[in-house]
Amino acid sequence: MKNIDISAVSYAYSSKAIIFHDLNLAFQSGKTALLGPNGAGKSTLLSLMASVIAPSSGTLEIVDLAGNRVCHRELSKFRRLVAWLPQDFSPVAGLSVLEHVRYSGWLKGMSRKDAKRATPLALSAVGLESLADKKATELSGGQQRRLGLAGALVHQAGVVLLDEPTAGLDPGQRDRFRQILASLDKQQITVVSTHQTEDIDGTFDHVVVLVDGCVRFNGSVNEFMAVAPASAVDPRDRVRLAYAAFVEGEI
Amino acid sequence: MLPITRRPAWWLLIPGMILSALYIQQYVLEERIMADAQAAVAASALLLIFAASLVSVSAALEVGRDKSSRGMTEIAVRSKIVIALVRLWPSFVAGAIVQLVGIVLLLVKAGSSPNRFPILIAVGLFVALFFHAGIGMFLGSWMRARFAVPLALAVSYLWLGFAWTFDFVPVRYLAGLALEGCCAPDETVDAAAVYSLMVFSVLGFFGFVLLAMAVSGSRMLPRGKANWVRTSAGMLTLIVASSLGLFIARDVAVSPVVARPLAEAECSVSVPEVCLFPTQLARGDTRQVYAEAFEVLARKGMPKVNKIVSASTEQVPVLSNDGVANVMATPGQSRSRALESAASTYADALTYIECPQETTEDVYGWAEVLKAWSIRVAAEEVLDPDERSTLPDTSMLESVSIPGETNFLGQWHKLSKLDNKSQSQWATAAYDRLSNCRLPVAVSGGTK
Repeated sequence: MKNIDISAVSYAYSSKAIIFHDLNLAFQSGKTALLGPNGAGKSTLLSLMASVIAPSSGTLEIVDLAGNRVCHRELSKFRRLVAWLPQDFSPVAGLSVLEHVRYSGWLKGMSRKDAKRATPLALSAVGLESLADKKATELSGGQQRRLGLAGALVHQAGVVLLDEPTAGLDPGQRDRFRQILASLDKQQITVVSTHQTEDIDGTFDHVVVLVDGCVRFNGSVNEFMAVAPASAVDPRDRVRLAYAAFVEGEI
Repeated sequence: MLPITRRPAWWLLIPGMILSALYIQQYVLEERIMADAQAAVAASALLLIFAASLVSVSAALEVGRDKSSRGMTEIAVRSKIVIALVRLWPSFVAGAIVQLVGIVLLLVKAGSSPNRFPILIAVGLFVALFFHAGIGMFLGSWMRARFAVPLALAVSYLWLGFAWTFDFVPVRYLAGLALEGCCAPDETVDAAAVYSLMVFSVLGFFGFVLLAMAVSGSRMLPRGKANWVRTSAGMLTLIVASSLGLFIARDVAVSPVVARPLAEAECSVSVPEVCLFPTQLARGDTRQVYAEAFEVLARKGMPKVNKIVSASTEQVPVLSNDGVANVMATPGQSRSRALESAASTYADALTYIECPQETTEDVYGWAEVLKAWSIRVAAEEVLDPDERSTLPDTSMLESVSIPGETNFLGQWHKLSKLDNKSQSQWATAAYDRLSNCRLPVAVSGGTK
């Protein structure tokens, strides 16, 4: 995929809770970290991009390398191109890990045969192949997120949207998730919302900072770190300071 | 796509079948369905209590599994209807198995039958399960399983029970349980009752699916509008389902039956001619007993009967002026029961005559005396002593006696002591008077 274009999108939970007003933004292929404080609209933006919710106005379009566009109103087509892992992912009861991923693929429009064939690859990509026969609801929190990711990835989507996938995970599980993220195809548009700025350098290609429904920054990781004071040498410190500068309104 | 073995419907299948079997064993009388495939399948309508509850509960559990998950079904490409069908088919199948097992057990209990298997009733009962799947789906989509499951059970059960007791009769046929009232041997099912059930159940299912989609709240349409449209469409569909079902069942009687055409009856070559339906003959031919009983009573002076049928009283009166008697005849009845049925006809006919209220109780009491006499005189000539011992005694006469007024049991004792000729004279005179709402002359003491 080439990019996902968000044009003049507005969304409000109620007349008093307006999240976006005429938002314009584009995500390119590669991995993008979506940063922002709580309430900035990160999860809402990902939900809009995943087509879980619809904008009250404006359009979201996925553009492939040939320039073909799929609008969010073409729901079925649009959803086939999107993989989504919500922050509060929880598996379907009564299914094993293997069955869960197959069911995810089928829900995404894959034939039974294709879903069956693609499942081992998806499980292997997230390191759950050894737990294939275990009940999905018996997995640990980190394993469940990986299961959710396997389910999201099984149909080879062009757009991967992950909402705080490492929140609440222990350092070992976070490392594991970083490795999985690193292994994702660079041709995909991968957008990951996160609070963990230490994950940015080395994992992501682009950064978007969202504050109060407005885009404060949209650029490469290097451009983002360049905002940090020259005194900061460690890349992690540079990311943290840059983020603080955007969020606290210094820039 | 979902594993076939780990579905809630299968957990409930065995208990459902056991409950159905116990119910049939305990509460379904063999006499009611004997040799009658139609009555046997219709009696399985009562088993909807188990089959429909299974369907609604398992549907609520199935749908609840998707509802409690997050991140998969929200952006599914498959339509909600397809997902629902994949989720709900085991519920349908398990419910249908419970119903089918009940039908098979009832058919075994009924024994061989000259009737054809009533496909329409069976299909109607299976289709009724759709409505309950809709209830389960709606509640499972709306609330957590811990609330949805008991509520689904309660709603299914209460709907069946509520509709059963409703005074406005067509409502009963929307639920299906009332099909249990079909059919005596001289009746056949009123197809309108079954069509009403089928139309209501299928449309009702779609109404609940729309409501389920509204409460599970896909938010892809502009906020608020989608749910409002689906809720309205769901409610409208339920209203249309109810209206259409009630319209179809508008002319169905308290029991969902119509009289079986008399042309289907098989007539004897005896005099008088006796015409009974194949079901009534399947466990023994008692037509000769009927013929002989009426012949004896005619000889004793009672009105002559030329033809004996067994039909609903709406179709043929108990005793018509042109000499047609309408009797009760059950499959497998004994000769003594057949004789009792034949000999009671004159007394039964009297109870259909509309007399002034002040004489009603007396007419009833005197009719019982006449019945006791008719049975005894017919039995003496038609039955052998062993068969006569199984006839009912005359204790009924005591209960219909009016304290301080007429002692009908005493009158019967006096009548029994008269000679045969005097008894016949009194009986024929009493029948004439009672037919004109006049009370008979009390039996004066005499000797045989």
